[in-house]
Amino acid sequence: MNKTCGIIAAAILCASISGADAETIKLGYLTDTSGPTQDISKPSLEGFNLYIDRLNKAGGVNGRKIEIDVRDTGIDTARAVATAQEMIAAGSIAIIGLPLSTVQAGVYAAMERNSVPVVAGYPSNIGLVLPPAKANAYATGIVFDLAGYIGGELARDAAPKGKTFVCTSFESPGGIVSCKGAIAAAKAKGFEKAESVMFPIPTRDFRAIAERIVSLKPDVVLLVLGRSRLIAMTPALAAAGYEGAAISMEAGTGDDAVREVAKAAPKIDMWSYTRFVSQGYGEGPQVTALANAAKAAGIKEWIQVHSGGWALGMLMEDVIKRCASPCTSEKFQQALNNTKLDMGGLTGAPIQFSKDDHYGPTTYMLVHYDRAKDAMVPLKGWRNYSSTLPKF
Amino acid sequence: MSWLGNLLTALATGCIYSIMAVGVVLIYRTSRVLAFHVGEVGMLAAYAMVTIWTPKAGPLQTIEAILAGCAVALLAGIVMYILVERLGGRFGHFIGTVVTIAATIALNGLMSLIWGGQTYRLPLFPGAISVAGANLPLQNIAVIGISFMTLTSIGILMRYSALGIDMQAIACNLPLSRLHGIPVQTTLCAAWVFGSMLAALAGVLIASVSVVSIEGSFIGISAIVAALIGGMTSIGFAIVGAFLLAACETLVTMFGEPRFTPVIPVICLLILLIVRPTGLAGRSENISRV
Repeated sequence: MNKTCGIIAAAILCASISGADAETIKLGYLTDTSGPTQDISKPSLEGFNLYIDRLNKAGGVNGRKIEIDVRDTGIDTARAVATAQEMIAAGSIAIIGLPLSTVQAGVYAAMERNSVPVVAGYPSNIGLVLPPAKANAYATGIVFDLAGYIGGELARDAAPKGKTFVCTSFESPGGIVSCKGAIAAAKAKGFEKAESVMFPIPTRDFRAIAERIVSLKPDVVLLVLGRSRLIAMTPALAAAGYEGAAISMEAGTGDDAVREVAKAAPKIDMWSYTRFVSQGYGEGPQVTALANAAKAAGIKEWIQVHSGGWALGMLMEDVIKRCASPCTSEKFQQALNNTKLDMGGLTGAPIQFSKDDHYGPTTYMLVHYDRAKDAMVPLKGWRNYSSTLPKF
Repeated sequence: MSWLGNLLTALATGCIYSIMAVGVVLIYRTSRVLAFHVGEVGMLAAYAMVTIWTPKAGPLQTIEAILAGCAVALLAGIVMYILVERLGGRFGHFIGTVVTIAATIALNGLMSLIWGGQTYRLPLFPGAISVAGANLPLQNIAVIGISFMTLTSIGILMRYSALGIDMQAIACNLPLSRLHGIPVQTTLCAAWVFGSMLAALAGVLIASVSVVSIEGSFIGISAIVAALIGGMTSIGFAIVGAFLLAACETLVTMFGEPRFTPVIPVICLLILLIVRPTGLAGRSENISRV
């Protein structure tokens, strides 16, 4: 009898040990695969999935598989919040993805009440992650306030003798703060005149807006537009007779789109600045790994958004590695607060989070369109920026 | 600031709104249904075209692309006719309008499914000419030329062809037209197809001066507002409404605050409701013609 009991007890112990080994970490990924920003959101998810699939095929993180619960929320905040609640109820320990700033504030607030960390990916994030950061809000993309300011500074490189700077964007919170920061930075960099031209979100015909911009006689125009609007606006600028420099903020735009519009606007000197690398430049082990994975997946050209998605995957692996089993939301957040992860060439600085800073220092690269080579060519390598927002 | 360039931009925009607004009026006057789906039909045709057409396309490929756009418009027109007139007709005109709203959602979903929300350029008329120091994009000139020919053809068709006269008769009095032996269902189907064709042309033209994107279907709202300004009873006044709207939008963008352009149609409608509630045409529906 005792022998039988011993065998049963041993069997239960073995089962519980193997159960612990086979622990699956569940993460909820919110994205837009059906709404107006799906052209940006899909590549971001694609890059993330490439990394996680590779990781799971290799056995997971210390034997723990990662299960991703991907849900489409469009860019509807109420739907995103409700879906995040469902995911938590279904066992997700953190909410990730959210590649667009539009729904982030609502999800951050709702998840704070549940004490669940939220890690927003690339491209766009809101300033709640900058120090002093909101308790559960983390991000790996670009914060518009900061990125706008950086764009204003980099405009000087694109137009060294320029006197007039124009920032144009659509009337979203991100667009407005970007241009506000860009104008402050441009003035600090010696531009005599710096103005913004904002337009409504539904605008699709940019001819009149382009005429308005050209009438200001700018030497350089900062385009905070995203992919679809960049494709529409730049040829309209060219048709209106603009022949100066144009810098596109890489916020899910993609180098392929910049090259396309540069060809459609042969007299515009086309630039872009980016936090993550794209196919064609950048080097490092993770760049090579992403290139191989993208090739195997049949992706013709991987762009910055893929890099951003891959970077989020790397971060998840790193945090789960440091999250003791059973990995709960609380332990996951503790691990997030002590993050310093080398990006292996995807960007110039490590992703670095602390208790008060959930964004960390970042690097940006100015890239110029070389017409002869039909390629984007980096200028002066990575430039460092702190997560402290300049006063403007 | 080039006043000539701005004038051309406003004229070209007015032309595009006009074409789509005429389609809206045609459908409304024959079926009494407000066609909310015209913008989506326009973008669907533009997507179909851009799938085949490339900037380096030869004449054959261009013809194939145009045929693809026409096929989409034809299909959309026939399907909407069946849905609204044959299946939904017994439920009344209000249900017909609701069907067109449902069609906007369905067509948006279809475009999202097939083209994944991607944005494409459709530069059918690249280049520019310089006149008196002003840079005049060829796309604006081409749009004005094509629109002029289209609107003139529609005018001739309505006034002199048997189909146009049948449409006018149905617009005036449907039961009486039926008693007179006018092939009502065939004529209604033709009106839906014409409306779709005009929407497709406007969609392709707006895409050629901007981009092909799902959000581009927003142009449908401008066209409906233009038709409403015109009073929904007259093709001519719908065209006037379209140019009025385009002029206001361009003026606000150029000399005022571009952020206020979305409220221009609303303001135009409000002023019209106060000053002339029956629209510019000022005719009540039962005595008016297409």
